[in-house]
Amino acid sequence: MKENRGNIQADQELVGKVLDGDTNAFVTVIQNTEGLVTQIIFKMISNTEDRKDIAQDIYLKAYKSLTGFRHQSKLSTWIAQIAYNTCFTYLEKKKLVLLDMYSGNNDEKDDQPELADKKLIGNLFSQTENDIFQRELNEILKTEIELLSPLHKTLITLYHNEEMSYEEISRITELPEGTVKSYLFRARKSLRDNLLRKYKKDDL
Amino acid sequence: MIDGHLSDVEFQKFASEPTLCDKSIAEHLESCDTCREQVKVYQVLFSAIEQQTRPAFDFDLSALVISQLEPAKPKFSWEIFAVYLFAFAGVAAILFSGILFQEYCSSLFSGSSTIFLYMFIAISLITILFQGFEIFRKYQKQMDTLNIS
Repeated sequence: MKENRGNIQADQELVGKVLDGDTNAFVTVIQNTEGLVTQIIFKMISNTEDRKDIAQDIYLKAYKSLTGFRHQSKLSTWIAQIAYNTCFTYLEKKKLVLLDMYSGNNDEKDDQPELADKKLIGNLFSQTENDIFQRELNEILKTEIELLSPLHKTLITLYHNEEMSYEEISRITELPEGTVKSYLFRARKSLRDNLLRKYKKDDL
Repeated sequence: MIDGHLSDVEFQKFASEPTLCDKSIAEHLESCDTCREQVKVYQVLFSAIEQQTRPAFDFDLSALVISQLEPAKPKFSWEIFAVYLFAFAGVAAILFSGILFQEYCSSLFSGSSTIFLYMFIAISLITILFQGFEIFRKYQKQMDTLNIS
C-alpha cells in the first residue's frame, strides 16, 4: 500500500515536470514504461514495421493527453491502457482477430487429469533440472505462445511476465475481472495441452 | 475433504497463487499423486513463461518520440495572471479617472500660456527619459554583478 502511494507520488512529480515542459521528464516516462508497452505491442501486433509506428503513436497520444491523467491508477497502467487500445484499434482497422475463441480451446470438456499422459509427465520431471530440457521447453513454449490469439498472449504476458494483478489487467484491457480470469485460464490450459501434445508427439 | 480429483481451475490456481487457495486443496494434493502431477505441469509451465526473453525494439524509442514532440505550451500560472490583472486594473483606473475628471483636466491648462504648456510637456518627457535611463543603468549594473567570469 505504502509502495503504491509512493509510486503515485513519484508519478505525480514526473507528470508535473512534463506538464511544465520538461521533455527530459518525458524521456524518463518512456524509459520507465517502455518494457511494458513493448510487451503489449509484440504480443498484439505481428507486423514488425507497424510495431514501430504504433510505439511512437502510443507515446505521442500519452503526451498529448497527459493533462487529462487523474492519477487514479499508476502512470504505467494508464500508458499500458493507451498501448492496448491503440493496438486494439489497429487490429480492428486491419480486420484482424483479437480473440479467436476456438484457438486451442478444443478440449473444453476434457478437464480431467487423465489428459496429461502420466508417462509424459514423469518424463517431463525427470528432466526438469536439465538445462537442455529447459532451453528446449522455452523454445517450444515461445512458438506455442505465438500461436495463441493476441488477447490470450497479452493476458499471459501481463500476468506472468509483468506480474500485474487481475485488477490492473482489467483496467488495461477494459474487461471485467471475471472475464480476465476466465480468458487467462483458457490461455494457460490451451498452452499446457499444446505442450503436452507436442511432447507426446515427439516421444512417439 | 475433497472427493475425486481437483478441477483444472484449481490446478492453475494452486500453481500460481498457492497461498490464496483453500486449505482443503493443499490437503488433497498431499494425498493425491495424480493431482500433484497436474499442479507440477502448470508450475513448470508458469516458470518457463516467466523465463521467456523480453522483447525489445532495435531503435531508440525515446529519441524517436522526443524528436516528434511539439514544444509544450507554458502551463497556466496564477502569478503571471495576477501581474497581468493588476497591470490591466491600473491602466483601467487611469483611463477611468481621466474620463471621470475630463472637464477638470481640460480646464487645467486653459488659463495658462502656451509656453507654460510646452514647458510642462518637456519637463515630463525629460523626467520619464531620465527615469528610463536610470532603470536601464541599474539593470546593466545588476547584470554585471551576476556575471561572475
